Amino acid sequence: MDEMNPRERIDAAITLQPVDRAPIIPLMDIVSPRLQGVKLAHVVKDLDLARDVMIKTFEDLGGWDATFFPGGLVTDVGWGIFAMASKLPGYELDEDDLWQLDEKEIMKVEDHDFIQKNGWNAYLAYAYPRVGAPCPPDRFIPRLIEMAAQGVKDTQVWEAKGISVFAGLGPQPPFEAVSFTRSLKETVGDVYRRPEVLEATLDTILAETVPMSIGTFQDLKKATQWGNRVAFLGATRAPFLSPPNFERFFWKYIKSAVNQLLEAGITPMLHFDSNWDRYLECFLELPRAQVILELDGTTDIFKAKQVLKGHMCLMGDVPASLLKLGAPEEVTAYVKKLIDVVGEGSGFILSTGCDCPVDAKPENVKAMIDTGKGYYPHHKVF
Amino acid sequence: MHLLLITGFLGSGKTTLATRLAKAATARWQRVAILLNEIGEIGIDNQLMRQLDLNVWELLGGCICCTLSGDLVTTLQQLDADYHPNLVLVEPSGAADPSGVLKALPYYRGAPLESVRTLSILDALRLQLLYEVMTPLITAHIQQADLILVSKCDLASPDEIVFARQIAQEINPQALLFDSDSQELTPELAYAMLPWLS
Repeated sequence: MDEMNPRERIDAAITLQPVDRAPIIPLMDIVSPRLQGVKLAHVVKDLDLARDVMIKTFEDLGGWDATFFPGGLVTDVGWGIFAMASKLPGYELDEDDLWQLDEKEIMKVEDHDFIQKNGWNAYLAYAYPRVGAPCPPDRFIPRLIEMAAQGVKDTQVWEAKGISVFAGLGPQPPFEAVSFTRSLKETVGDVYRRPEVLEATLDTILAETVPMSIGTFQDLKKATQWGNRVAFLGATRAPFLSPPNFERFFWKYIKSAVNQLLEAGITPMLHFDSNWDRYLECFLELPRAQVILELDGTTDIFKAKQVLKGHMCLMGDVPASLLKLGAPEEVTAYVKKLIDVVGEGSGFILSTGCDCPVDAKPENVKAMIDTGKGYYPHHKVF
Repeated sequence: MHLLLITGFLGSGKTTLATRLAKAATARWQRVAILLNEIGEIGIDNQLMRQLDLNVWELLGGCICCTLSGDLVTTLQQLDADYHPNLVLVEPSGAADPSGVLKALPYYRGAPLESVRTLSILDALRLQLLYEVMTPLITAHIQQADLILVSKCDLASPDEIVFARQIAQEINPQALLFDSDSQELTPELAYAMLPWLS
């Protein structure tokens, strides 16, 4: 098979078409500062620096098929963007500490009513002062506008180097959004004690966030050469739910968001952390060859391949502990196994399992990328 | 060095138990280290622990637990080199699936671990609610446990205690099962959970 360019390779993998090798798109936002000798606190405060250390790392390691995100994800707003408290390097934590979610009940029970009357974005602005993020409340909206502009600028900088940006933040699944701001403990209580109220809140969030996200993707596309290839939908807590609750409070919203994004011409990437083994068959309900399921090393990706082979593209999942503690030969062996098994018949993107850890060994990251570039035994299949 | 992983949903009493076990162990002249991954949930308790002269380290894990397993190993190695504890109590986030926390232990290169056990706390007061809403998570907690502690038995009804014991035994009949109340941890119970102390 002729060598493909990165965009062709990624498109082919997503649509389950033959590839010359598996595309490689690791998530490198927190390891890049460390590899470049920059403290995490500095990239939280300087978004140009966050992007530049990612570019430098990309170049130092010989490049791959696309940058996962255009720049850093954590700023002085922290997870306040989701009305969730967080601890940040250079603020509550030491300058080179990894940031940490801070599980608190920011959203009170009466805020269900507020959200249903005023909308989700109004709630986020209303609740932000409770979060205690470093960015002062009167700067919250201006900061969000600055961050959106930064995303456009970062994408343009990557594209000027001929590198495309893979993902932009898509709509947050409503159950995950509520569990972050309300706390998982209180959200579980809502599922049990006031399911109709919770469901009405989730309806409100979905109705507001999906069209807004589609608009953002379309605007970015106009302002850049390629825009974002996929919309990132992150989830980590929904697989804890019992089957009836999973369907009612999570899955039906995912199906709706996926269908709306696809109708707008946007590829959904389900970045689903933690263990989804018991719900893998649900993904067969999504449209074939149009959606990516990205796993973090906790779900059995080899089982996922058995269940979803020929249906959807899988992405992942070199474990964080392997990149941090293993030897390059172990990383190489694991990547080869991924390509052998999960890459069979296409439909696979090689990536880190969630974020590449801040203290990953550089030689391990290089082993992951170099193995991905040099190893692909499936040509004969086509 | 003995390692005890304490799991349980948010608010089940993990930090309280860790504190009481640590006090029981230090009373027997053991060096104890506590590793916490929930600085939000335990902010006040964390300060309280330090006031009690307990040695607490925080595991910072980003958004979820995907990096926690590797961080646990490096922290254990650091503790082994700098502090030489006899007992390390690890409390991962109650808002995450703890199944992968010990996954990276084969990479540990410090002094041999004399025992590695997982203790899961079931809050008798809330277990029916939690089990109905989140069967997969509660089941995972119970399945992975070597020891199961049904907590808050002085506050729960007899039916709630029976329910918790039944669920624990049905899912993991091999695990050792204990009851505790919300007020204290008796030395007998502490030694049952940490038999090498007695």
